[in-house]
Amino acid sequence: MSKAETYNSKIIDELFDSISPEKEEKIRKRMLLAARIDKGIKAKGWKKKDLAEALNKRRSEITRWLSGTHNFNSDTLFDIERVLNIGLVTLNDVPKEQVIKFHLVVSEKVESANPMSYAGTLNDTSLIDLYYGEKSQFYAVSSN
Amino acid sequence: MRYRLVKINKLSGYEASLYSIYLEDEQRTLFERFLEENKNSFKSELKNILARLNTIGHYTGASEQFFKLREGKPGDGVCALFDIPKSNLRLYCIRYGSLVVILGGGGFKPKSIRALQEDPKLEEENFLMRQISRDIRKRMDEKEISFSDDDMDFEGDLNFNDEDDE
Repeated sequence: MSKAETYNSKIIDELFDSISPEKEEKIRKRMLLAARIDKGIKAKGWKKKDLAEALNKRRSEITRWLSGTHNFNSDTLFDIERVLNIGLVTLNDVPKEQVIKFHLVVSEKVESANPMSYAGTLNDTSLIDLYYGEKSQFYAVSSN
Repeated sequence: MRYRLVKINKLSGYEASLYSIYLEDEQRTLFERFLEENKNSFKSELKNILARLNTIGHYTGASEQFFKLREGKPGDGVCALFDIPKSNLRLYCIRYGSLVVILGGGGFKPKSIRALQEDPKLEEENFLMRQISRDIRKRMDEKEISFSDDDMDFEGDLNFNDEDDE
């Protein structure tokens, strides 16, 4: 089966290259924040209306929050953190050097995985899921 | 109308593939036409749109939350990139799950209108995306187009000529 042509565009390149790195980072982080809130809603088994009710907001406002275009104020983020029980704002300084020791247990072999990707962080939970790639062999591993 | 599906290199990444429609007669894609039509009046908005599309391709995938859904017929995937409050532009897309998006055209969205039928330009761009969605669906039904094994790409005969399908 033939694949689609990979297309390079002068106007896309020109416009994209004119975006300042700072602006691009802000837009990206707003979307990642929205994605994290959406993940928190789903992890709690909620829908948008549940978050709206919990925070006494209109559903349309939640839709805007999740669109990745909203500029949150800190109080709103704190409220979302509280009702969803997730972390959105980091207040602690990150140490420059951090030694993390954990015990890895190979639990099963998986057929395909994105090498070196991971879900979860060491701060979130004592149990982390890692995909470790070596010679095209991927294993699901966990720590405890 | 003769056109083909092309994958936009700059915006596509590990999280989603972003396509557009290359118009053979105009020698440019629908998305490029949208950018050229609005670069003088709404350059800042276009840059925001590009940064969001780049994030979708490389960081988040095309989750529903980033789009205004149901802008076409039920099930045809026609949607719009979420409108920023007080923004001026509407960009139509066709979304295939969170992994593939086809970028179409759009234009200025006057604040006074409530339905796209009230604006001839937006109506034309929207109906074009509906037609393209139907064309692709027909090719898929006839097994001439399919998704790749990782669901990130279209494969098959991606060249369309309206006369072929009549």
